[in-house]
Amino acid sequence: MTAPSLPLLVEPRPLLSRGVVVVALLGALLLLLLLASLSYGQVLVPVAKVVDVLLGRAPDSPAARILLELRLPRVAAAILGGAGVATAGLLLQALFRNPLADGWSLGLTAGGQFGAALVVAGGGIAFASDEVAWLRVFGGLSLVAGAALGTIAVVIGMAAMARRVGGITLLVLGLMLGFLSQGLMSVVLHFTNQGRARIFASWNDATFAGVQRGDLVPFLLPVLSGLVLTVVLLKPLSALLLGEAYARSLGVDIVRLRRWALGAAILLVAPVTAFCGPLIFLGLIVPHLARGLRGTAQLTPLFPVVVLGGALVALAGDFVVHLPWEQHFLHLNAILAVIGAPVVILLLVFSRSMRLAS
Amino acid sequence: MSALVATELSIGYSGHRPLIEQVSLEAHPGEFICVLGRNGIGKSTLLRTLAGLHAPLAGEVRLGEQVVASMSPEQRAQQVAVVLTDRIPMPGLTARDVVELGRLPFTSWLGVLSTADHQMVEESLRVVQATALAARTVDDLSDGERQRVMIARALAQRPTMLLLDEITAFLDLPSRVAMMTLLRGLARSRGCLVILSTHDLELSLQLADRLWLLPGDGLLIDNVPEAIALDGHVSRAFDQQHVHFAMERGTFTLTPAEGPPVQVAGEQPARFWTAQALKRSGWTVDEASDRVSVVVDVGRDGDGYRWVTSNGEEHQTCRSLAELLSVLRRT
Repeated sequence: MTAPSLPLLVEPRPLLSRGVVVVALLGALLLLLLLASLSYGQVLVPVAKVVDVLLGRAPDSPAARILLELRLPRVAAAILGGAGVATAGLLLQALFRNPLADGWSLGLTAGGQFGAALVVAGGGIAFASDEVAWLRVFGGLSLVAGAALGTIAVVIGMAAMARRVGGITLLVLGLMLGFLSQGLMSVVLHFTNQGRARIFASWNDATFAGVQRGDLVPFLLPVLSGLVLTVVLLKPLSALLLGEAYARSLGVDIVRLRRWALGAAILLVAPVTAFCGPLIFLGLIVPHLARGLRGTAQLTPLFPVVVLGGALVALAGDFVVHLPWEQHFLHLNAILAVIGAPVVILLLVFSRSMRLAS
Repeated sequence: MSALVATELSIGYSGHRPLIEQVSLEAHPGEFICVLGRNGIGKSTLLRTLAGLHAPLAGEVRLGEQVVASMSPEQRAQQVAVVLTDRIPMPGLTARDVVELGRLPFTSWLGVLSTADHQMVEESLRVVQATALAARTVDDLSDGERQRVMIARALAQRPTMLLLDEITAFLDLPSRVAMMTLLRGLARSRGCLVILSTHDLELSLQLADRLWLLPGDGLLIDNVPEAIALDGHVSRAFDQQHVHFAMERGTFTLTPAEGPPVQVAGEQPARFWTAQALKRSGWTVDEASDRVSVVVDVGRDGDGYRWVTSNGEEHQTCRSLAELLSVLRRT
């Protein structure tokens, strides 16, 4: 063969690939939204002032207190929580080979909520007379631990169920677990201290505003380790897109992969559920939006888009909720449902893969 | 290149009778082997065992120097590629995505493809003539297109051994011929060992270098196709009440019912098809003229044919095969 006459096998790559453009665009949007979120609210803090505070040039000012005590933890929780839940969606969709899987639709969120509710209720009974000790129980690590235990229980159950029932049935089961957990939570709280139950009642909705500065460590560590673990799992999970048999033929240890991936999902979902409540639709739709933007279903190029996309959607929802409205009835989950439900409906009606899965 | 050697191999599922017992096999790079046998006889299990995806009950399979069962999954994936029958949904993946995933055993921990990897992907697509399909979603492809893409994926793995499990099952005849010719060509050009399990006995007889015939009872017959046919193994394995393997033609034919004898005269191919039509309608076509009461003579008539029947006394001319059949039915 004469090498020079051979046509170029691979088209020369454009200088800016689609991946770079999408990631840069999402990153820029996120940065803008971050500044806007810190700046806007009941009190307007000019962007210049925001930058000053962030750079430590304006300590002890009222603006610094608003930003560092209230807005920054909330915004950080939104970015990290959104990224975590969306990544869990990507992970679970690949693992369960189900386009509508995510932490919420598979019931992981419900399990986490119920676990956290038990911790609150148990703390309420154990420290019935000691308000301070009870509050300490309510915040932080014990809450995450409770949520994690609940999530683990559901994960084990759903993984076993996935072998017996079809994709759609599994999702219905997951949603039923959500109702069950809401019901059980009401029952449990009915028999515990009414006043404390009220703190918890807001849990039907999700909010990032409950996250305090001190919470960031128990919140941050598991989510970050979940993200790192996901990166390590991207290659074997990609092989799983071809189905178990092909994945095995490509050298993937399915049992080990499943164990680690479920572990990662728990790390990503449980702390977000513990601190922010049930985030609906987010983990489900962001991977699909990312596929549309990125033009591929391969996991490695999708991952950064999903992380940024998840953060962006969560932060945007949070931004809208916290705009200086006259009345405060706008809930985060309401916004997520308005965006998410139509996406799911479109998927159910038009996606060929979804029909094949059912 | 490394040969495949199976020594005293028994395969199956523990607690059940072995599907194949104590069989020794050898196969070489560049060979195209077809595995034949009735459903449930153990073709898939044999392929899965050779691929190292299923543990043998006894004996061992070696690929070159290494025992397949004790290779690490990663090592195995660099040598053995498989293509399966099942049509599993692969949501959102394009044909190119699927072929790219074939390079995973050779990539770093993050699975990012190098320029060389991309070239192999494009080349694999081209070899199976699937370049035009590359951007399409796999779930939207037809069965034949999809199998071509799955073969490209396996080729991207650069295997020393390529195992394909009944991949021609859902294809129409021309596609089956094309697919099997392609596989034989790949075995030759890549110097890789290609093993295909199939129900296509007639095509296998014409295209395979060797046949592995599973007649049941734990046996495996390994020989060149013609020898297997000549020894009567095909007949023993596949003949049924109404179908038999016609030794002189190498095809399966309906076992004819014993009907009234008829002789057919005339030129080919008209004589052949007239005889076929008569056999189908219950006549016994007989070459010897002394035993027959009816003779059909077919000849050219302008653009078409005409048939003259005679029973010794009367002659009758028919303008079509259908007419001939109805005339004969009345006699």
